Formats: sequence, structure tokens, C-alpha cells
Amino acid sequence: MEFTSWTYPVFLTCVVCSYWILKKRYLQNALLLVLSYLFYGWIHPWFCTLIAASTFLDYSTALGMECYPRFKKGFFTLSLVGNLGLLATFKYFNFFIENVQALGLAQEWRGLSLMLPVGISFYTFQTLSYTVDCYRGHLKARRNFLDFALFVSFFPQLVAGPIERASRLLPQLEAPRQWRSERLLKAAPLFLLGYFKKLVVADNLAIWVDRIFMLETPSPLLLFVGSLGFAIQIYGDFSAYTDIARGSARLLGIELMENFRSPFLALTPSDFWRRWHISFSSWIRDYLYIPLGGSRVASWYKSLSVLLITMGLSGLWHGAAWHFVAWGLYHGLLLFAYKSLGIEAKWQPKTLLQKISAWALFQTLSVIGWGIFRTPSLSWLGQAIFHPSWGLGHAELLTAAFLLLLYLGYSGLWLSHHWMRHLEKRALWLQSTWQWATLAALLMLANRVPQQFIYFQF
Amino acid sequence: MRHLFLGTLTLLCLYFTFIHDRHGGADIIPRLQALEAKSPKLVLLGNSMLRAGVDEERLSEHLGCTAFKAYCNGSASAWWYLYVKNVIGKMEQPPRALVLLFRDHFLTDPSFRTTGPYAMPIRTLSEPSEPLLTALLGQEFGYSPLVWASQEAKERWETRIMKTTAKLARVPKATQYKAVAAVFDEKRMQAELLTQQQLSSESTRGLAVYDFDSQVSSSFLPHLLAELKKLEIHAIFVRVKRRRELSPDSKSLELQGYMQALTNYLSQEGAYLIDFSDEICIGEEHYGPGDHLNEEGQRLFTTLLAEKLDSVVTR
Repeated sequence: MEFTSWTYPVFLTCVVCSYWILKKRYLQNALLLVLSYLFYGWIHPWFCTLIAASTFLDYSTALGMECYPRFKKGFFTLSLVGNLGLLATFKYFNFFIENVQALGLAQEWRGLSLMLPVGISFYTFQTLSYTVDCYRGHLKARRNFLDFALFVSFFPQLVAGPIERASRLLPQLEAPRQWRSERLLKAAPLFLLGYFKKLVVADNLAIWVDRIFMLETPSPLLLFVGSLGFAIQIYGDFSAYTDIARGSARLLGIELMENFRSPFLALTPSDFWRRWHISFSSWIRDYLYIPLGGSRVASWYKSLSVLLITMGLSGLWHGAAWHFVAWGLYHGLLLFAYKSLGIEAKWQPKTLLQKISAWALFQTLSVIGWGIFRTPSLSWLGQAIFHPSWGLGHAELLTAAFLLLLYLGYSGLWLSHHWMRHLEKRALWLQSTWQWATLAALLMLANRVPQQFIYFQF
Repeated sequence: MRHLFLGTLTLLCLYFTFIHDRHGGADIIPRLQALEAKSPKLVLLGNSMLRAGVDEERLSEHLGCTAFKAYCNGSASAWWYLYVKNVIGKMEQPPRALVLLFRDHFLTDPSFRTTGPYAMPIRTLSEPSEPLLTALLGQEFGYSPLVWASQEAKERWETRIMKTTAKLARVPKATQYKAVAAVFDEKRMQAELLTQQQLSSESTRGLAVYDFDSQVSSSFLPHLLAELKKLEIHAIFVRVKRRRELSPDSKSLELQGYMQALTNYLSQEGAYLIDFSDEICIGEEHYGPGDHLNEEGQRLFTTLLAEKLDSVVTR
């Protein structure tokens, strides 16, 4: 079931009403669990067997680690192999076969015709974080299977995150919740902005961005403009999902984490990764980057290797294709380059000019990265970059100008949201007017053929 | 209270600016005027297959009479029915014959290409009341003023942006439009991706796809034929050759059965069917992206069509 389908508001209304009628926590959790499975298996019911298997595996291995400390490593390995095996089978097996066969090997092997279960990358990472935390002793293994199963399958964040840590979500599911009417008032702006970002900004820009990436050989200028459009599209799309997820969870008395913190204001690569897909980047930092040595590695080549491995795997998480890996490696190189120049996490520009220059430089590099992410193939990208002309012809310049104005035309109201947040306490009437204007713009400009959320394919 | 008042005011302004008194049919008069200006003896009706596949001038020359191409990219039977009823039906001097280009079984799938981006062209060719559309398309085609208004608003918004760009760049609007059209011309696109796009838009919602008998009575086809009979226009249906029909084993038994039933039905109704699906002259080298013919293909197909039409019309 998609957030942008007509069935979702009906589903959510039924969930919220029946949820708050039940007073007991365990009944509320049981209801949520059943409805989360219904939500997940709406189109493909067999997906539920996989998430159920993953739930049972991690519940039992975590308990096993606690009850049988002698076999702690064995249970942990079982969980790792199980979760990563699931991911590898459904997401990477065919990619692996294709690449092996491209080397002229194993020609007799056949790929699997398996559908990629929606959200598998998200919930396997979520459950893996639970077992790793239990293994490290940071978390006690849960005895209550119902609460744990709900932690894995909680429908607002099941399909495209945020990837919640057990230490944050489980206590909320284990605590009693009571209805407060302010939840509705606090959830409404999230829904409004979420649907606006998705249906007005992301889906309308997608039409034009797709056209650019469907060109046989675009010029570098059009490629850059297309990449910029995609950067806005993917941010709108993904942050919209998070907003709707947070709004839905808030109605149920659960607070999900913020997944984005104005990434277009980032000045450096490390600043960007503290603002973009925060739940994923913090997961990668805590469970991959730091165990590999993190920023404490002594030599430059080890530091480069750690960054490239971490970011390369981050890219691969997004999809079984080399351009995703290339995007990850690109960010790894950027992080290394900035680090080598002494511009690390705590760097702050001293002057306004420095700030603007840093921002302009990094955002340009980031947009180039989004071009790598979106490209249909690396060979297509190569042809576009080494295009005979720069695309400074009359028609291309006019088209580029139109597209830039179009991006502003659709995302202008969204940009004003940042300014509106500063007026929170002072000018309530202005905020209220802005909300109504956003609703009007949503009703008038929403794309009537909603595209699937981009992160569903991961 | 103040917020409620503001909100109500905003929505009322919205309603009266965009929604109130808005009805469709915006395209009927312009299309009628274009048709009357040419006064054709022969009207060809179809979608982008017609746009790409037939050269109007060449066809007119071959046949020795004026031919007129009436098409809408992405259109199907609903739009074709409305064109016959609301445009051709209003002509003072209707054409002698109507040639309708179609693919496979889409003549009898009433809901094909009626939603999403394909809904607006239908709206702009509809009268305020279209009982047949509501009857055949049901819930999916409700006259929701908000849906239509929002589609118009979106198009106007993008048009406004286009005009603003032209103003800022100090070029005429037409130059701006042409520039964008030239950059995104179909010939500059990756053909395989366009083909994939075309095929993925042809999902038919799990109908018994090739069951002619169960489909025909709840399709636009009988009503279209009735309109043509009323106007005393000869109906000629042309089945175009799809790219996948280049392969000899592309036609399933069900499709063959369907085509046989369609041929019999049209014959009973006094309409002609010209079937190019087996035309061996049309090869892979004549295709562009998807099922669209390229320039060479257009030249060839126009000649072949003219020859067939000549023999049909003289009968």
C-alpha cells in the first residue's frame, strides 16, 4: 500500500480510530502488528513471510545470545548470515551472476526470477542494528515477541524508513500511550508538507528530469540541470515519505526520528551526511565505519580505504548496479579529499564569503553526485560528460533556463517553509495563511498520476 | 476563528478562480475550425501511430482528394468516439470516409488511455454531459471539477513559467516553445526506453483481453459506428503493424480469434477492415521508437495505405 494511494488515508483513519478505542497497550500493539502486516502484504502477501522469518530469526538469536553467552558469537553470526543472506539473495544475486558472467565465467549459471520485496533493505538493517546492539551489550534482548515483532514491522516506517534504532523505538512501543488532541495538530503540518513535497514538487519535476535522462546523449549543461532537478526530486520524494511516516506515527503516539535536516544547506561532505538520510548514515557510521577504524586510522591509505569501503557499500545498498557504487565511491573520495584539506566534521567557515563559497562548491559537487546516482548507466554518463559540445547552443540554453525556473516554480513554496519555521511563535496568522496556501497549491498542482516513491526500489 | 475565516476565503477564491463554470469541450471548436478549413473528403483518426505513420500531403496526392489527419497522442477509443460525435458530427459538410488506425484489441477496451495524463484530452473534447462516457467508464471517469481544474491549473502554471522564461531571455514565446520541443524531440531520445514506456502504459487491468464477444457491447465501437452511419460516413478501420509483429510467432491464437470476430462484426456493420499486421514490406528498418514508424516507414506506409484505400473507396 502506498502513502499516495486513495486507500492509505482510509486505512490510516481506521487504524487510528480503532487503535485509540483500545485502552490496553498490548491490545494496541497487537492491532498495529496485524495492520502492519496487512499494510505490507497489501499487494504481495508473500512478502509477509520474509519479514516474519527475519523477525523470528532476530528475536531468537538475540535471546540466544543472552541466555547462552558461550554461543554468543554463533548466534550473532547466525543473525548476520540470515539477514545479509536474505538481502543478498533477493537484491544482489542476479547482479553477482551478471558480473561473474561478464568476466566469462560460470556461463551455465542462471539468475533467480525473484521479485525484490519492498523495504527489505530497510527492515533488515533495522533488525541487524538490534542484534548488533544486543551482541555489544548495549541493549537487553526482548522477551515480549509481540513488541519486538511490531518494532520490526511498524507500518509507517517499514517500507522506506527512517531506520529506527531499537533503543529509541522499542521503549515507545513498550510504554503505555494516551490520546492527546495536540497530536492531530502536530501531525497535520507533516502530512500537508509531505504530500506537497511528493505530489507537487517531486512528481512534477520527475516528468522533466526523466526526459533529460532519456536523451540519447545530453550535453554537460543539460546533464547538470537534470542532476539538479533530480537532487530536488529525490529530496522532495524521500523527505516527503519521512514526513508522512512521522505524521502517521505521531497520530499513534509514536515519535519517529527526523531523517533530514536541510541537506541543501550543507557546507561539506561530512556536514551533508549529518543532514541527509540521517537514520541510514548514522547506521553506516556506527556499524560499519567505526568498526573498520573510523577517523582514528593512522595512515592516509587506510583512511581512504575505510572511506571507500564504507561509502561504496552505502552506494551498493541503494541498488544492485555499478552507478550506485560509483556514487558511493564518489562521496567517499569527497570525504577523503575534504579530510585531507583539514575540513572535517567540526570545521566552521570564518567569514560569510567563506561560507557562501564552501556552500556553492559543495552543492555543485553534490549535484554532480546525484547525476551519477540517477544515470541509466555509466557508459551513458561517460558519453554525456565527453559530449562534443558543452550544450551552449541557443535551444539548450533556453531549455536550461526554463527548467531552472520550473524547479523554482514548483519548490518555491517549499523553500519558504524554512523561513516560516522561524515565525513559529510570533506570527501565527502568517503561518496559518501559509498552511492554507500550501493546501491550495497541493490541490491545484498535485500530479494526478503519483509516481512510486524512489526509495521503494531500495 | 481568524484562521478559519482565512482558510474559507482562500478556498472560495480558489473555487471561483479555477473551478466555477469550468467545463470541458475547450478543444471542440478549435478542432472543428481546423477541420472545416480543410474540408477534407477523407479524415484519418488515431493517435501518435497516425502522426508518425502517415504523410497527409502524400496521401492526398495519391488519392486525388484532401485527407486530414486528426490525432491526439496517446488517445484511444474514448477520444476517437468523442471526436466523431462532437467534432465531425458538427461539420456542415462531413467527410465521405473516416479511416481509423488502431492496434490489437484496443477498439473494444473502453477504459484504455482514459485516466492520468490521458484524461485531459478526453475532457477537452467532451460536452458538459456525456452519458455514454459515464456509463462505460463509470467511477474512473467521474466529472470531478477539482480534478479537471487542477490539471488545467498545472498546465497553465507550466505555460506561465515558459512565458516568463521567454520574457527574461528576451525571445518570442514561440522561440522558447520551439527550443524546448527541439531539445526533447522524440528523435533525440533513447529508443528502447521510449518503447518500454509505451508498452508499460498498455496494461489492460486484467480483462479477458482478447474476448471480442464479451467486450464489444460495453465498448465505444458500436456507438462510434452508429455515429458514422448517422452522418453517412464510410467507416474504414486500419489495423497497423506493431513492431513485435515482425516476429512470425508473435500472434497468439486468442488474438487471431479476436481479429476474426472483429472482422466479422465490422463486415456485418458495413465497415471495412484493412489489416497491415502481416504486411511483409514493413520491416525493422522502418521503425523508430516503440511502434512508431520512422520517416522511411512513413513514406512506405502512406503509399501502401493509399493503394489499399484506393481499392476500398472505388468499391
